[in-house]
Amino acid sequence: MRMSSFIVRDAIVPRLRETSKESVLRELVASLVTAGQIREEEIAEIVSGVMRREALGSTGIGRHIAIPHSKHVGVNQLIGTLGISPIGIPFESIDGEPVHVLVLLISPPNKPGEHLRALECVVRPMKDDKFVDQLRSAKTGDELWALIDGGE
Amino acid sequence: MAIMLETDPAICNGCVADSEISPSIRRGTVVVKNPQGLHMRPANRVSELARGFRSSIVVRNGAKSADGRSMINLVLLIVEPGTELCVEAEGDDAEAAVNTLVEYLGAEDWEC
Repeated sequence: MRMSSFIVRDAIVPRLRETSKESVLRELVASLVTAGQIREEEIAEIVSGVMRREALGSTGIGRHIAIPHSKHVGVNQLIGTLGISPIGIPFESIDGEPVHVLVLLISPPNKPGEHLRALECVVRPMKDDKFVDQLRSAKTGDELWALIDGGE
Repeated sequence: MAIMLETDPAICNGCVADSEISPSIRRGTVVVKNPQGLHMRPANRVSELARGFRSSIVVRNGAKSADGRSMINLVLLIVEPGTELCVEAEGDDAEAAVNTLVEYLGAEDWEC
């Protein structure tokens, strides 16, 4: 299983514009609307769910990476998107550093195994600093897709 | 909840057999009952608990092992509900470390 198994290609955002945690999460969720994966009227509920999860503890895992996530009844299978923030987002990460690489996961309720495998799938390649640097240096969605589709 | 402390690696699922076990090593097994499995938040809590001890702590899921202090490595274990884990600690507070982690990992409700 690779990140490309659940990241929606058309929802990848190579240059996130927003600068705060909540607004960048909204930008990522909106990218899934643009890609036809969720409905526009679901944005507020999903962003709210992701922010509630963040309130329990930041999903900023350090080294400029965050994996915000939430469950949502509107999806039948786990979907996700990838966004790169050139300026870095304050995220209360475990190392206190701003976040440049964001992977948003939206999973259906009652499929914990799918969520756990997706988390592993995101975390495993991110242990490699070179991979993270390549993601941050990518200029287009196609370049990002090639990176997440070509890894282990 | 059954907390098993023992020194025979043969009866501890996932623990690597080692004929020369240090007397300061303690091991315990636990079945994860939480219906969501070991996702990021409880993995982070486990790493926080592990950092509270001086002992080195390893959590094993079959052939895979993780430093108990690393939330990232714990997530990589892919611990689904019903998984049996082996917690292994080495150091002067190893027994307390194993007891604490086994108790947390075996709880059905991971409020943290």
